Amino acid sequence: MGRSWYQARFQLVIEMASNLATFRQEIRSWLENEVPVSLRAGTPRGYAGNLGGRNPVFADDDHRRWLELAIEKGLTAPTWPREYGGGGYTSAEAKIVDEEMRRLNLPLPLIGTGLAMIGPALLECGTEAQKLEHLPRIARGEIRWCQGYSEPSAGSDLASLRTRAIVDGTHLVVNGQKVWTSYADKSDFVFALVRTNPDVPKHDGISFLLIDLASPGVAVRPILLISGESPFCETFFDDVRVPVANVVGGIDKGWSVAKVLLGYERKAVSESMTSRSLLGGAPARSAIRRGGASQLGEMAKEYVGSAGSAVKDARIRDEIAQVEMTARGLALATQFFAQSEKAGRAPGPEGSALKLAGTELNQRRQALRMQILGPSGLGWSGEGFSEEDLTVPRNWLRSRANSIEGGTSEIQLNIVAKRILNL
Amino acid sequence: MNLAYTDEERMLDELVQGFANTELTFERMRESREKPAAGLESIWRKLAELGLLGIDFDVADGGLGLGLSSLMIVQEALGAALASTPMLSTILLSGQLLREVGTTTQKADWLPRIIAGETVLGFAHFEPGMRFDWSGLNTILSPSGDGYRLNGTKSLVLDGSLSEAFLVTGTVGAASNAGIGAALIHASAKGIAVKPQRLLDGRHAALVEFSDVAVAKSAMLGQPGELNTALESVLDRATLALSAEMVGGMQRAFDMTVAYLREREQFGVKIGTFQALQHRAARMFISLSVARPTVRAAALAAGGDDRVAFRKLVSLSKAICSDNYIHIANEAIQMHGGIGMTEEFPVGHYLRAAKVGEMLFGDAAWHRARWAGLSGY
Repeated sequence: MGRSWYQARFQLVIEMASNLATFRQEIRSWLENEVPVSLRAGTPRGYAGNLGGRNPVFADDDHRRWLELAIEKGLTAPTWPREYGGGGYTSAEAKIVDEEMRRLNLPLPLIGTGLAMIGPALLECGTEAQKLEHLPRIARGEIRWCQGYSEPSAGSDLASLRTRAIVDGTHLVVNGQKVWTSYADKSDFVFALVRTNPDVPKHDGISFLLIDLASPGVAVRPILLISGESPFCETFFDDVRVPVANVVGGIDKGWSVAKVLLGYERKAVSESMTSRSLLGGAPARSAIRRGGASQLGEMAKEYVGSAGSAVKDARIRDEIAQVEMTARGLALATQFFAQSEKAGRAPGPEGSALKLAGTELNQRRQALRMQILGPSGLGWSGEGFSEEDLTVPRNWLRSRANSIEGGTSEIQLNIVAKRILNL
Repeated sequence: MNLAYTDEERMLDELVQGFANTELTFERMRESREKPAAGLESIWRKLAELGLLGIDFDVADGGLGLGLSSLMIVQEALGAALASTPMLSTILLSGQLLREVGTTTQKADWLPRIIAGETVLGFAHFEPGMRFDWSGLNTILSPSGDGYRLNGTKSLVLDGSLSEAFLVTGTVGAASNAGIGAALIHASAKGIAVKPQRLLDGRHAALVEFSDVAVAKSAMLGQPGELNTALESVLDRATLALSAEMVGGMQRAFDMTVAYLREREQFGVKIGTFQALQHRAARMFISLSVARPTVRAAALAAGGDDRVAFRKLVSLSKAICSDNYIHIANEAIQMHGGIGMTEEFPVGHYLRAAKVGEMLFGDAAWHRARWAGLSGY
């Protein structure tokens, strides 16, 4: 490789850079001029973000307007092809869009399981007809999705699931029960794993099915957790008829689709533990804003006291630094994996490592917040407790589920050992 | 910030890996620790011949001007091989301080010889009893006539027993608010006593005593009493280079352990089939995966304008590398069983390197405290 090779390459880099600079200018001025200024003030407390659906709930009219504008501009699913409702942007352009949105402190215009999980899985495994039918409705926030994987007797051993689906002409007839179907009570569609063949090895008789929850025979019941409330539900199927056209990946061939989707799930979950993500970022969701300063640091100064500008208790100060630095390290590791792998590849098994580390980090962060609150965090209801006093214990309890949902930590360790370390 | 290697860096990585595979064998590492002069011949000169010692020096000074992120590639390879070289003492500490605040004459005299691998320069900064905070140095450079007199004792001077000269830091004058200065002094100068030390990982160092050593004005670096900022910058870069070395060591200890899990049999099966060991190995992978990107991010920020961001990233990488290298080295020994404890087998030596790495330039807790201070709590 002589000098000319470098020169040609250098020229290419310059050209790409100047095109991207123009793109950045355009997107910046569009965001500055078009998007309601109120969006820059941060997400309202208790509002996860625009989740869309047949019966969408918005924090206010400006949030509704932001979604409409973003759909028009292709910003809800920037990298999806235009014919599927996306923006058709390159990954470099999408990164610029994200950076410019962050610069104005804008929330994502649309979040949820559709964009984070089933959408990418359909892009990879769906038929052309399925993509054309479902992706635009996801990108426009018209359909809200939930996940139907676990069953009462199929948790970590997911492939032992028993919900049955029998082909009957142009339809499948589904009978059985799913559990931990987050937000099933607020969703419009569920993507579910069902058993279409009980007479073959368990992984070979599973189909991946898209089920409209408005179908006759579907019943949903919320589950209460020790944290006081929860997004989880049980979902029951009683002779529910689903078009064969809604099978993704072919009858009995759903397990490989299921694994692709799990990769996207782990990616979204681990991102949500360190920054905002399509599932709603944990920090924005649970933290009470304290300007640009370290939130844990400011909280500790308030509850524990300060010595000069430092937190008074050296042990708590060190623990805060551990949590913050682990978060930064994980964010960098996530970025490193993403930039090192070939663009467009589905998330690999290193997502399991990140999911595990991200959930343990969040558990540690929530436990630390309890420690900072001290006895103030013992209240559950009644007089004399601030909103923060009552929120932190619920988030702490809720965080215990992080290392169970989306594949337990032990399952993630199995995946790392088998698929990365080849043990 | 793109954390992946550039094409040029990937080429450099291949070059360095090729060199490491043939030259940096465990046997040679062991030999170089016992006979450091021979080690300089067999390793240091060859690194110089490949041009690798000039990576982070300016082209005007005879270097390649590739920057700190490229040098980290070399550091990883040296750490993986447990190579004991004067990289920290001569290139990153003495060489960089010369580059930052050396006089034109000093630079011309020393930098080309440093880059050519012809000399070792000790960095006499650390003092007996000092932990990680270096604001109050007991070594004194007192004004005397046209120059200074130097008095004090320095310890853990890396490669001190092999050094042709020392860069010595000290408090200028005796006032309590006096700033830091540095002088470049030949090891043969009158009043210097060099007493060899070995560190727990086999590195060569020295206790160096300075008794009323005469220091000419021309031997001083920069503005005497105003070197705090330059010194902090040099120490930050050296800390980062040490972290990169630690990442290399982590990677190798991890690779050895996974290979061992795949080949060692007990109870009639490979021990890597046991879930208890699989999960521990998976956690080693996580420790390693988090460490490397922090070093990379810090190296890419080294040339930037945001000094606070750079210092935070240096502390981030050093804290994580300190904790995670110890984790990986401990686990590597445990999973190798008895053989992991032997002098003969390489894997146990990574724990020794991990401990030295952890304690040089600030341990994990010290860097977390620095991060907290820089973050406003």
